[in-house]
Amino acid sequence: MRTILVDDEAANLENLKILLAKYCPEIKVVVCSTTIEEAFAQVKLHHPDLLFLDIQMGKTTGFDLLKQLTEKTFEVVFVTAYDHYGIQAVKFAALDYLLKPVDPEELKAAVEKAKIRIKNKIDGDQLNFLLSQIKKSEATIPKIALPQQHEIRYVSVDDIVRCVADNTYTFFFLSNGDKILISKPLKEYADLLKPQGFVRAHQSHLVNPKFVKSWLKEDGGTLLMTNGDKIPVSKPNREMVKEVLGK
Amino acid sequence: MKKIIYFFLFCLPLLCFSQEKNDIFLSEANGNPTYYRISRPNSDCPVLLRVDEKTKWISFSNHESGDTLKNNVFLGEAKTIHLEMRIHKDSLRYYRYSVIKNDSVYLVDDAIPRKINFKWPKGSDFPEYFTMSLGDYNVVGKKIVVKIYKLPQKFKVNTIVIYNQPLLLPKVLTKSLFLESINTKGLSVSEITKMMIKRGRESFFLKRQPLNDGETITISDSIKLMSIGIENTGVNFIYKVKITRYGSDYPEETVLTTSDWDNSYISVDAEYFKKPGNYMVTIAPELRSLDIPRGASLTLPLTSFNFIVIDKRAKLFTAKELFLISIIIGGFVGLISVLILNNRKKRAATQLAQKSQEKEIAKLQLESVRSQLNPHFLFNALAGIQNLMNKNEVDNANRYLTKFARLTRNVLDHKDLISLTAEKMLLDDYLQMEQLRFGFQYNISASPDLDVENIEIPAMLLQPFLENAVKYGVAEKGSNGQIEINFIKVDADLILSITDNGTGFDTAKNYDGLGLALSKNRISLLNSIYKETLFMLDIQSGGNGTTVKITLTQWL
Repeated sequence: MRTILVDDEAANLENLKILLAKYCPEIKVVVCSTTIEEAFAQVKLHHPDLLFLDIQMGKTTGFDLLKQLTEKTFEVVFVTAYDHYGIQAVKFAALDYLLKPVDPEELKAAVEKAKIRIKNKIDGDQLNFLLSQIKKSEATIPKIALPQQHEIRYVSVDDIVRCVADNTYTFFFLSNGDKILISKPLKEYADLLKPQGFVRAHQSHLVNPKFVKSWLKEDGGTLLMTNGDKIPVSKPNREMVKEVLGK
Repeated sequence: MKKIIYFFLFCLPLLCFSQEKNDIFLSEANGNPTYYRISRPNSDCPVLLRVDEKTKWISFSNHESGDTLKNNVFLGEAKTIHLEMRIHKDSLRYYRYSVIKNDSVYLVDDAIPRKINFKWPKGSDFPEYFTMSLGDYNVVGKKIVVKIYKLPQKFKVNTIVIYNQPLLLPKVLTKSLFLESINTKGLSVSEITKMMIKRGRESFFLKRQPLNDGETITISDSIKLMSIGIENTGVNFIYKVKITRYGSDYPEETVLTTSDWDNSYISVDAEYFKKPGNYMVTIAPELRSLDIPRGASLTLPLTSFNFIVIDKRAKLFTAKELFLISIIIGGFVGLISVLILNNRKKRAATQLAQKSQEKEIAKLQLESVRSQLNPHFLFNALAGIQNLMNKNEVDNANRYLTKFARLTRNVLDHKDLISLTAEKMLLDDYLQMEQLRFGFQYNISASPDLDVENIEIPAMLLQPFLENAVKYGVAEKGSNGQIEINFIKVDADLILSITDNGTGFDTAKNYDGLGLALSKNRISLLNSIYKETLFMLDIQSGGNGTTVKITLTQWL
């Protein structure tokens, strides 16, 4: 796989190169760039399969590079040290990322995933989706990418009624009645959707308060959803749920 | 040629048999088997159930009133079940069990459990216990009853009934109102006797009047109760009758839910449907502890009928009069209630603000006492990684560096809650780094009935105690040091425990260095935030080591 590495610190580039050579020999690093401008030119020239892209690069971000590139025929693995906002956006788009210092195991997994995506030619729209989300003001309702085996659904957060954990899988129940199974644990989506107002009513249930009809007293606390579903509220969460719904 | 055919004929039943045996039992995504505890919590015969992958749903605790040792389990389209029981190895011979098919055939009759599935090793959650197999059973369309007792308490029989039959649609056979025929209030005994002679005895019993679907009832004091009779389903106790009122004063109100069946009849006191409005009665099974492992949808059979209640007394006034009166009363009541409500709202608002402020303060305090990674550990860990680098152990240096990064990130992230899986990983990261320095042994385990991926606990709850266990417990013992961490579920409680085999300390004394005061403070703060679920800390320390046990009551 022909790969370009982008990071504003040369030491990080070198380190990533060594790790790739050692743990992912199938990766051929074509070139490394320390600035957005340089990277832009290199991508145009080399048409890589894969890009390792630092998010925070001085005053610019890796997202700026993606904005400039109209044709995105490559996979991207974002790399970041500690950046809440950036990672959040990447997670919403269901794209892959690595944290520095890079864990060789996670690196191998990320490359493996990219390989499968390139092979299956999963639509590259996710990058455009990511950019459109970043551009939007905070007031607009964000969308979230839900990757299924053969397609990616882009769903407005407002259309998600609730999520249910099934071990390391999560079921999404949408307002149009669709039910989607995603192979990520509920915890990940709880972290993403709690800032959007969602409530973890139970260890296995994440609920959009917009679709809560009423609070039933049966079994010590149950949420009745507008579609008639009943969601249990576990004891530790009871006060918190009441507080959120009371607002 | 003939021989070959015979051989095949001989093999055929064997093949069928082995296929029967090969039913795959349900397992979690991580490969651990899924068990359901189907004996009652107070039973001394803990029975576990495994169902096969064909099972669409399982409801594993349905109690009937009366028998505290009986539980009912309902299965959706299971093919095969496996039963087992955890017994102390010394009391194996005291147990007797029977398995009965369809209330008629004894598959097992008063036998001693003999087949060992698993011997719990020392240091496990249940040392010296054996998990005994009670056998695999084909349950297609069947009802299976399991009875277990432990000698000498032959009379204390635990009964578990497993139904693997479709839930029947409740069929309403009769519905009627019962009316008092004569008002006997204020009459003397002789007067009543006279009336009885005059009118006949029958008239003193409640008069039955059939009720039709959609019928309008004019409510009066003489209506005493409603009776609903259904065709016996065999499991009436799971069928719930729910009465909902849709009125002009209140949009939707559940006035009664009951499953208090007397044989196949249920009586509803007229008090429940006195108010005017449209009433809907639904009868449907209610399954408790329902698990739908494969996410299949489950629709429960439901029967319903309606009736309308109007109030005759309202007709005492003409519509015009009623209108006037209601305006006057309404205005008055409205004025007063506005005043009262305003006052109450204000008070509630200040109370709520106070409450949330208190909680906010508790949260901030919690933040400040949230254990931080001990600087001593931090720099020693870095020195350990430096050592690996200088020894040219690059792979190991990488491994420990990423662990170190993960730990630091977790402390910086300031998350309130963390899943048991993530907590397990962090404790493991921490212990691996300390192991590099001290060389002790450790083990972290979670009992299989915990949904470790989705159960969350407060972040950094165990870390300070674990640091103590390393520092004061096993650091001096080298490779003889041993730390054991367990996550256990006991009913609705979650128990987290750390055990070390160090020299222990006196729990009565105050050790500033141990950071115990800080941890105790933290637990009391957690208790002020999670008011309904008590956190309990228990520290046992002696010459053989220390056990710290944190119980999160009612957490699950």
